[in-house]
Amino acid sequence: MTVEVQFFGQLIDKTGKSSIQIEHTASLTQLKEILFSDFPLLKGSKFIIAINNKMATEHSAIPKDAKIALMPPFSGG
Amino acid sequence: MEKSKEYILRYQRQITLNGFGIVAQEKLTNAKVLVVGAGGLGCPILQYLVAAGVGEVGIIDNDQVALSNLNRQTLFGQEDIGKDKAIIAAQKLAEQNNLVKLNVFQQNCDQSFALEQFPYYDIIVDATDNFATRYLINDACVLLKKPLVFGAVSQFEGQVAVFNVMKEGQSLNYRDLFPVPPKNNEVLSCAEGGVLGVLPGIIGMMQAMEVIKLITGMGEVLANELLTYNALSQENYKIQIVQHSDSEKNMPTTLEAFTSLNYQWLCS
Repeated sequence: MTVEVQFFGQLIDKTGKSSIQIEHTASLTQLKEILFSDFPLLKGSKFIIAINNKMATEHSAIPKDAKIALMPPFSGG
Repeated sequence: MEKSKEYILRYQRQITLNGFGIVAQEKLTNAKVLVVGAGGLGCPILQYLVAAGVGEVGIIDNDQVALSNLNRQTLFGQEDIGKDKAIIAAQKLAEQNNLVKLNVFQQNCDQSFALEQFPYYDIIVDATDNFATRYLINDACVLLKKPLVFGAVSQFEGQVAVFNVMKEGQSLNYRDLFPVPPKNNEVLSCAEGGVLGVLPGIIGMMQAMEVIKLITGMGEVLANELLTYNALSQENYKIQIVQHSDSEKNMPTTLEAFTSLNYQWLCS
């Protein structure tokens, strides 16, 4: 079972991809561990995580068919 | 009050709209909106709010026009290089619509400006290009309970949101997304990352649309939501914002605490 992870803004430069499929994990902590090991540049980057179009909190669970988005702050204007 | 023939004619195309009419037009006429920043986002916001007939529009910017601004800052021309942005913008806007009262501030948006001027306006629009001012505006709007229309761009993408507007019993702000500002070198600016002029044009117009919706009550505003637009794919991605557990503890809770915060330092 995999979930889709989409990257936004500068995170695309850091991962070299706009989206990936990764193995489903139950918790955000586990998801982040996988992402940080696959894409070390993500570590230390600021971003919010959205699960199925809703901002996740620390304890949000990840459903099996989740669409996940990593969104950094934008400053330009 | 009886409106002049000129007034009716000028706004006829929007007065004609279903559900808009003279009632919505008068709401615009009675509204006061402050646009912070007259750059890539600010120019289209100002042009469309003034064209639509928002009664009073404040413009604040401390910059001078530079040649590299002209790919996106559509209120300025070659002859304006080196001149004060807020002043030139106001001159162009006055030619566009003389029914709108323009308040011009050729200065930085600092804490004392926010505390003095924000209360006068109904809506504040964040059209700035740096985190120090963005967090300052956000915190001031939370403290003063002012609706804030946020917009920001990064390369080919842009974000839009409406903060401090009660929806389903909740009113959220930028610190619910990012409780603490990023450091200076963490996020690319337009100067470093580049920007195609059309993108801030589109995002600025989305902000102008949210302002008009807030004033007239038409449609659904982007309260408690973050919209990300991608110019290369022409795709929108909307997410629901939820209250962040660290939001309140990082926010100045009194006017004194707000005034003594060093926003430049926080973001450097």
